[in-house]
Amino acid sequence: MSTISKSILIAVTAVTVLIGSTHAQERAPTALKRVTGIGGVFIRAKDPAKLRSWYKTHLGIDVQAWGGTAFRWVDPAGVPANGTTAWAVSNGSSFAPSNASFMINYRVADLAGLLKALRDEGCEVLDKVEESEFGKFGWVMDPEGNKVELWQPPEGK
Amino acid sequence: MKRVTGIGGIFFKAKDPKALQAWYKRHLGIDVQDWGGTAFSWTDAQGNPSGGSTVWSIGAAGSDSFAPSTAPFMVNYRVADVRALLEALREEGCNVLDKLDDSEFGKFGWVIDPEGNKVELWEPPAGQ
Repeated sequence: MSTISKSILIAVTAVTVLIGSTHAQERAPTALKRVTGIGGVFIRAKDPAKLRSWYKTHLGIDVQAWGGTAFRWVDPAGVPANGTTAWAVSNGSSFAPSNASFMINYRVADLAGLLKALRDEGCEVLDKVEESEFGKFGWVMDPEGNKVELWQPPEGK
Repeated sequence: MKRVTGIGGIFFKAKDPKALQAWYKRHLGIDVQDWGGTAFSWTDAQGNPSGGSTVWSIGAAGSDSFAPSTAPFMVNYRVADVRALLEALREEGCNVLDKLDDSEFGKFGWVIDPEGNKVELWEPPAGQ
């Protein structure tokens, strides 16, 4: 093969790779990873302090001062794997505007990307977004009025 | 005695379960199966399944699956030894239901919490 044809071959290969990566970027939105797991379960109680104390006494749940606990995911040997599922009992004020008696927190990989997609799809996304050392939080209402908490955990959590 | 060790599942009811399941599938990307829910595998830092799972499902508002509770949701808690825990709860004066299920999915027992929520206690099959 001549030097010229080798150069052409390399150029063609480079262009093909470039086109390939452009296509991959265009495909990305439809391949958006949405919910990947259950990040938490929150229960509304008439008497939160009393109910927490029942779960602590009888179910052995290590209820913390904030009203709940984080259960670490484990492998079959009981060794902590990586993620957690939170659980808490409260008066439910944070479930507003929903008046449901529970709220579920869903783990997501890309909160900003998902909220944008949900808005584009006409879902009732709340304006508020929270970002702290616990990660990023956003909310959407489901069609039956349940508040859905979307949570992007901090890197590696 | 080790009691609850994790969240095994969250189940809730809907006026229109089919429509609500479809919404969660379409907008939240949840892989809703024919039985109305899915099992999310716990993962390690690389995103590989690590062993356990948390089940999620939507049922019909009219169904009596959470009876005698009238709550629209039920939480399933993982336990290491359901029989021993139910015995302890009975001795402690808790409202434990008589029924106990034992199948290939594991062992299940139930207790009602003081606010009337049905609490599902689940001992997974060994290794799950």
